[in-house]
Amino acid sequence: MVPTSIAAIPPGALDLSGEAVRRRRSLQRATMAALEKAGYEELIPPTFEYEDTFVRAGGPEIAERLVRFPDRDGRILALRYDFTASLARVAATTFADATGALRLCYSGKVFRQDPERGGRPREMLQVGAELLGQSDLAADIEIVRLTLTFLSAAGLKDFQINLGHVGVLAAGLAALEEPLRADVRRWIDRKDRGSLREALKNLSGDAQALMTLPFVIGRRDALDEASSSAPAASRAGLDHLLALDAALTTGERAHIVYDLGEVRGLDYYTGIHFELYIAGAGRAAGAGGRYDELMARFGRPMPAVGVALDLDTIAEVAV
Amino acid sequence: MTRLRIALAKGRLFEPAVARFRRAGVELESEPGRKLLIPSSDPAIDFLVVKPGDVPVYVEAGAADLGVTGTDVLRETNADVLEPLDLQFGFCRLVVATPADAPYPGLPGGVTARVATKYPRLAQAYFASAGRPVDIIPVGGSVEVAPLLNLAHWIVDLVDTGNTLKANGLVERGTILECGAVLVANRASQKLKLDAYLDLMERLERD
Repeated sequence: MVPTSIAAIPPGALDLSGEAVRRRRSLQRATMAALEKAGYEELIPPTFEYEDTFVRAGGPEIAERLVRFPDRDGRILALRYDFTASLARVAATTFADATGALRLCYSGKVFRQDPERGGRPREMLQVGAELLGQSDLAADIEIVRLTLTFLSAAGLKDFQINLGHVGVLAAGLAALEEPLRADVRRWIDRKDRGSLREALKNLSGDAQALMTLPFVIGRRDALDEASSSAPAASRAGLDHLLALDAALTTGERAHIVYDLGEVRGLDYYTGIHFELYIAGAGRAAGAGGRYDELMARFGRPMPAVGVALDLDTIAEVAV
Repeated sequence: MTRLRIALAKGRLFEPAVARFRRAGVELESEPGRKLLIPSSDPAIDFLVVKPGDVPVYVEAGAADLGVTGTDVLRETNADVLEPLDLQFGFCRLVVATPADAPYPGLPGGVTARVATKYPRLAQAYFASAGRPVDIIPVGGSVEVAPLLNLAHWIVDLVDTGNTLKANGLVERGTILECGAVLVANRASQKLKLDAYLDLMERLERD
């Protein structure tokens, strides 16, 4: 064996101590207490699974971000990429006979690598919840409200949830042929209005709405305005967001921004989807939404909606 | 007041970027000297002047809300940022160039070509997608002399007029990327500072 220094650590490994630990633990305690109070049961899934479990849940694009190693029999294992995959597996097997909705929650580390940015942390602390078996608006509201509760429980004030619905852009994108559709998705993702305008100027019908709908961002009035000119196929998604808005209190609404321009989760989410932004953090500190197709991949079709928060990011800004 | 910090790249994109912001009503208050941060005529906006390759890094991390960068360094760093506006200046090309008498695209005797470049990721991806194995030599500058000094057989570099290539006896063999200046924005900042972002975008788009 090559002798290494006692001090050496692998790239992307973290040593946390002192205040950094206290902040994370206090966030973890506050959020887990809020979850327990809301009737969510904690699961502690394994730290590693067969890699297929994570790819089955998250899609092929997560494959390069897994931290893998071979098992004794040669099968490939991966460190926990997310909790959702394991919870879906458990819900489809151990809890196969449970009737009614399942409310599950978790807290712990997930392991992800970014091959292009070798020095970034490869583990992060998450807390999250899944509500399985309930497809109605009430379930969506429950998860959004739970997310707001977490953040208040964590003592945060300056934060917002950017909330959208995959149904709003789906019809417009479906009207396009590949490879244009992939280009349009990329331009929407980059908020590149000029390239979109150029590509869509000669198209008609539902595709035209892609010039305006992705740039709709604001409070309820922005949704109302979008609704008045949106194609019929986008209406159901917009109506769902409007109904969700109507159910919120004024205090809750103050933290919600409707944002119809996020396309990253379109292959994963099937209804509402949202990201959490906190003043001072350069990236989203959590994400969630509805993924009704997830459980079918584990052999037990049932609706699902959930949220996961990145406690490291929250702890680093919430001083 | 919501403050916006804008990262500008030193070098060839600096003056045209300053001019573009001036036309949008945002004037730098001083020349970039040793000062890292330069205030502007708009009290809500200040500028950060950094090395060209660092602009995507600052913006992705949120140390700057917006930035002006070339698509060459943006694609090389593969930074996860918004690209809301093509700025229509700083046009150039990322090309493969070789000495005029050098064999291309293959070297005789099955020798693997060494390619010197400041863009190792883009160069590697270009040759790999064509199924041509090469040995990428990452260098920080003076790429065009690498063949003369026998460091590499070929180079991958940015070309504007082509004069530098010509002066070093090099000829273009293929284009990897058409490049130009773009405005980039941090993904979280665009959402948290939406009104300030939209206001500045509107002023820049009016150009």
